[in-house]
Amino acid sequence: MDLQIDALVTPDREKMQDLTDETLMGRVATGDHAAFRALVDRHVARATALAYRILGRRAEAEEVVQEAFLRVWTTAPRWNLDGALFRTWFSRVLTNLCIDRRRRPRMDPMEAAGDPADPSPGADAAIEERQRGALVAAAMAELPERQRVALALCYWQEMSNIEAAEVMQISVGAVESLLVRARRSLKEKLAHRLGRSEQG
Amino acid sequence: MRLERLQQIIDAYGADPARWPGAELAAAEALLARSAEARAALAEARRLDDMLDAWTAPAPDPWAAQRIAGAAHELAQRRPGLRERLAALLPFEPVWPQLAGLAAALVIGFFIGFGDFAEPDAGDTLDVAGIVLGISSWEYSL
Repeated sequence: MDLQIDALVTPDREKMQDLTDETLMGRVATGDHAAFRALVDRHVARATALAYRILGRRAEAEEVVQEAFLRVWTTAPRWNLDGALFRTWFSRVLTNLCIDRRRRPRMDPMEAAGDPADPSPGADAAIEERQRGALVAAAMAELPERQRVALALCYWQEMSNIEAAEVMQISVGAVESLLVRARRSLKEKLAHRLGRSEQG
Repeated sequence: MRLERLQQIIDAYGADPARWPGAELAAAEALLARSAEARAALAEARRLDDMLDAWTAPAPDPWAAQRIAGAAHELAQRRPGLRERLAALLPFEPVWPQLAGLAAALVIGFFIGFGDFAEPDAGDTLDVAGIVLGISSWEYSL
């Protein structure tokens, strides 16, 4: 059935490329599958990265991203443009779902960043990079959720402080304050972890 | 711009001016050009940025978009149940669950109240204390 859906929407997909998110959302409101697929294609990678930065687990991130897109599909008929950008609204839906998910009890440990070791030339540098990434992931997991969300939005998603404030529904000053605390805390945690790993 | 403000910007947004607030960018870069202290703060922030950049996010699985589109399609195909169809007819939120709860509470209240007014028959009464405490009536009547 998935292949049928793909075939159904593929001819329309190219036509959708020039349309804004908000126009696509208007079409999704009328039940237009091709418009929905275009929105998903456009935002799925970015959304998965954001969810992963907040949750720290790929499988959970993918589940939450699917849930957020289904929220788009079901709420589109009631979606109020009101000057809001789709990206801002969608990021808010996604971050709220991530926070809800993180508050649930977790049985499994935080997953290590990266893939298995690669024996090819230059692999040492890649391993070192992955180890550094794993340290950052572990330090991020210890941050309070609002600091983590602010950093994920402004640093990795490269959102402006104004847009991040709209996503988080707080003031720009509050976003900046969260960022300062997040970076300061990460710096301390990473220095501590790096010191420990060098001793070990 | 004062050095304290530039320090605050670097502390919050990191070393890359592309992430700095647009309205303050020109002033911040001008101060950076003439302040060695600001450049030292920038170098310090860059070390943290390098660490943060080492944490790469995985790409979504190649079938993610198709899986999500399929899930939405299934959602659209699903026939609404009786409850959804009734709810769709109402101009307001359904109140059936609240009404059912109220009715159940009234029925239970009626039977409890009726039981209080009925003449107790010594032979038919339940030994509640005995059940709760797990002892026979003769033990606590001693």
